[in-house]
Amino acid sequence: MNKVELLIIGCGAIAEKAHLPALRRIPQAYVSALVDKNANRAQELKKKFHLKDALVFEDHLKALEEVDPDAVLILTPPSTHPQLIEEFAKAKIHIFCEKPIATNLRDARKLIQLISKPTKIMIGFSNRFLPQIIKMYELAKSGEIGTTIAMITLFSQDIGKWPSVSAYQFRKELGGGALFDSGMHYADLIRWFLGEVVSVESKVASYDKKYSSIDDFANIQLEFENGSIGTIYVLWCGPMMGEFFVMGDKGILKADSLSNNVQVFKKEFWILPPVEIKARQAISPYHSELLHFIKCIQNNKEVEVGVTEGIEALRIILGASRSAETGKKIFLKNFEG
Amino acid sequence: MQIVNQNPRVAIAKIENDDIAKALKRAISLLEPIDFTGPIAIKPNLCDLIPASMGVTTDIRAVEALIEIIREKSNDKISIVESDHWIASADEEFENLGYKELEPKYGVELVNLSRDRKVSIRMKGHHFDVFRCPETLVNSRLISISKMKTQYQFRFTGILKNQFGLIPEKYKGKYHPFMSEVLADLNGTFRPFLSIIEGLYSMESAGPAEGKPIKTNVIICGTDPVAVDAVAATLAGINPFKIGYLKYAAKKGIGEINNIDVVGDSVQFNFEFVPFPAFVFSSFSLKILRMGRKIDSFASKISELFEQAYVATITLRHGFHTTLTYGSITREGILRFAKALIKRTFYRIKKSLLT
Repeated sequence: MNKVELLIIGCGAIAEKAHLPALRRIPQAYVSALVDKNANRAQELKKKFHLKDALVFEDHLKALEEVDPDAVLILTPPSTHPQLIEEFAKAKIHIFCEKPIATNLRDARKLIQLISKPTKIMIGFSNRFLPQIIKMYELAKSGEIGTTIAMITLFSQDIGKWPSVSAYQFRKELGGGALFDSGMHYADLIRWFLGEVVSVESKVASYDKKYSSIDDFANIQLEFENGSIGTIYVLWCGPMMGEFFVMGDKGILKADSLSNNVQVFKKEFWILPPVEIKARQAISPYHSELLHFIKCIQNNKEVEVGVTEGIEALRIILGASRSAETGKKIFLKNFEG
Repeated sequence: MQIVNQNPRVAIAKIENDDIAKALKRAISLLEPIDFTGPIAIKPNLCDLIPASMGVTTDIRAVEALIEIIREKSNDKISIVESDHWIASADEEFENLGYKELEPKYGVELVNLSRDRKVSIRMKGHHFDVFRCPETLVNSRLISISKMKTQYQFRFTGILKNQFGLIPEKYKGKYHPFMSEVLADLNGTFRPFLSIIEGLYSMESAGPAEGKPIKTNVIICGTDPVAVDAVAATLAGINPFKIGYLKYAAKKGIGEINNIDVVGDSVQFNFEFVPFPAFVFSSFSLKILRMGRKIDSFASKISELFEQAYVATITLRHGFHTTLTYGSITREGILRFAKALIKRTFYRIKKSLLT
């Protein structure tokens, strides 16, 4: 099977910390070009990851004149995503784009027409590829805890510790802030588990003076078509942790971002400790999602997380953002941002 | 009078224009004639998913060239063997590194040693007493084809360490503190009759997986695995006498570290190593773990002895006793056991005196 030739656009922290290390262990793909506004930064990553055959460009259009990639990894700040997706889709190049798909629904809607095109477009919701989350999903869907009633996700980090190069996280207009940047991951995750969202309510706040330009706390309450409820907490001025709960009428599933286990609490266990179920070992969620993307290209299969998922997660977060501004519950049926 | 040279021979062939097959053929031709008949298991180094061009895993072209060399002499069964690793299963490694294509192309069999049928073999080795051995290894002769890499804990990894992958367990880290003994056992029991280092790309610095690839363009091979490693380490600029497991293997008679006839091309490299403090920390970490395990094992034996003494005392006093470890024991049983123990001791002394 032919190797998939990749072009990487955006040589920031997510490329350095997540995608390039993951690609080392995907021999089915190779990087033929690195694109970044700052060519020195691209050169630095080329050297660090021993990408000896990769060319370096400051402009992606120039890169496309010189190389003929099968796929592109868009790892630039969020506000640049829709235009890049459109351009690469027109060039018939498969696209992996870090979340979010766009920063507003107007731009995102333009991408809907690309869904039916043969070009594969995958949105990087890496939490879906955490092995403990996959195991949790399988257990919930197999009826292990009965009918799913609610899901809670809690994510905390100190955003100042993330070695961002563009620092877009601190600029709302570029897609920064706890609600928009991290909340997007969990909006997608809960939607994956519980289905379509009917309404959203949210509160945001800024607690740490260092991050006063953005919200560093967000709480989102979601109501779903099937009657279930989702709650998201994001804290950007706290310790590093991630917790996930799925509640059903017969039991509760619990997982966290650091261990590979899912804890199953069932009514019949009474006061006994939960049963720990091991998830499959994985190199990293980024490795799993990129491997999935590459294999979908090689075997001409549909990607699991595409444009629709990207747009729906964006709609939830924009609804949450509106709710935080107005203090009202936002119904998503006719919500257009 | 004819002088017979007993030194093992190690051949070196430079790879030109990335033609691994040509270099391998040349290197093997420089050795004594090799018998390729009978079932053969080829053990490449597929310890990761990182490709050969990054200096981590064995280049599939080298394995293909080797299969073609074997097929010129024999049509017997060839298996390509590897076990699961923490980072990926052998099946994933075969698939992602392109080895799956060898099955239909050459009629070879890919064997995941972790899923192969196991037979218990009594090794009575330096570490393993009984080894749960994949059946394929019992029924085949081994060819080891590995990379040449620095290794942050043991300085160097080549042929001998490649056989670490014969252990069918996924998590092999528990054997790291006893690497010298484990490798002596594995290389003693499954001694490769041909050892090849595929060095189109090798690895320096933080090997075996996170270091820097270095283009070395060399094939090193021989019939003595210790000698091949000693030569490869020397070429990489690493003193083979400073590689603990290599010295241990030589001491246990698995191969020769010193008197080696090197034939073929002349090459020399100077591999960068991890910062020395990092090496010292990792070595100490293993040494402390090793010490801890030995103390634990000794303490367990002493504890067992005291438990036996307690059980014997109470059984002799009360006539019978029941424990989880020994089940129900009677006074007669204890006396019979003591009698047998004395008889056995005398028998052993008698036999050792006679021999």
